[in-house]
Amino acid sequence: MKTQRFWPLYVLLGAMWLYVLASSLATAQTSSLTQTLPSGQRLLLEFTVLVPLLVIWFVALHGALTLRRYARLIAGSPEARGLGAIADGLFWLIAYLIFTSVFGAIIQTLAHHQSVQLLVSFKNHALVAMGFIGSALLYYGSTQLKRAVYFTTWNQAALWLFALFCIGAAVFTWMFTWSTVSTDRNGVPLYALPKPTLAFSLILPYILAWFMSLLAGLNIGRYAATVKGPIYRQALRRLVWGLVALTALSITLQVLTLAAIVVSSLSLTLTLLLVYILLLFYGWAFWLVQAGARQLTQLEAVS
Amino acid sequence: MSDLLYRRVVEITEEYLGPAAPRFVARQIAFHLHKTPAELTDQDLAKLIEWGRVSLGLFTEDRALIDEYTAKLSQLALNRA
Repeated sequence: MKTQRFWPLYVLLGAMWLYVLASSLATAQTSSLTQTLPSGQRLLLEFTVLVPLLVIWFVALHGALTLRRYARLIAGSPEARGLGAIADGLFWLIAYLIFTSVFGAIIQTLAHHQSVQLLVSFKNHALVAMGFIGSALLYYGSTQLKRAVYFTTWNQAALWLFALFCIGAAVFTWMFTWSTVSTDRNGVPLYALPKPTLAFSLILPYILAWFMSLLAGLNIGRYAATVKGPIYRQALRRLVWGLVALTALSITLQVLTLAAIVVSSLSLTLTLLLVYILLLFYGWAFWLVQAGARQLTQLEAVS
Repeated sequence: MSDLLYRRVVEITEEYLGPAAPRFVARQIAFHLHKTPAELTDQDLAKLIEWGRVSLGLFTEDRALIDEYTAKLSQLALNRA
């Protein structure tokens, strides 16, 4: 499975990025966040966010493909199925990352169209489906790593983490349910269904997805700590750090997507800071996955 | 008998290469000895140890770890002599 064979995917990513860019430039003038800026600065601002975004999309795709190729290379071994499922999970999380921007661009373009409510509802549920499938695959893959080496997920630290997660999930659900904000800063609706319906169709799947991601991160960390072989562990280290960081980042991104209520009230500086930090960490995490998978692949190439 | 020797070599290699060990040893046997794992004999061990030292050197700069690995394989060869 050569990465070069997947060039149509890179072309597709490029095309989607161009659409996001065109949409951002078209709507920048009316955006309440940037409309006070001179047009030159506005343009520069759009590019300082969108160019790193394209780089991260490419790095992310390359990272997931490299991991998938490694899983294929070791097909039949105890850890192959787990790593293959984890790579598939990453593809879904990349889709989540990309479609967050693409759907956002479509909705901003059609903000005053009569079908916007339908689009918003589709966007919300398509994104939660992608996040859920990605997290489920990550979790499934992480449990399959037990075929290679036995480890337990639940220890005292995991229980504490679970307790913190429950508190966080409860606070988040409470904030979402009681918030009265229903549109973003440009007046585009954030949700198209009543809150009680969303609690089951949106919040519950997201919380389950975050829980599965958390368990996946724990399992992957345990696998790396338990598996035999210092040289293998050394090669595995970058991949594990990348995967654990990605599970944490995917939770963060999904929380922020859902908490648009909070994010939309931030100033331009804080919004940009948040975006840059997220982009930086995403790029770093996917680079680690790619570098780790390549290091493991080299382990299989030496004879 | 030979399969037993292969499994012993894999067991020792697993202490350093973890789950990658069976594939690593099988490749070493195929590329440098032109044999299948089941055809491995005691006479092949010296050559296998030398190639193991060279190949592990490509993954790590920890000479002590490589020496420890080759010492364990050499001990296996001695025990079988």
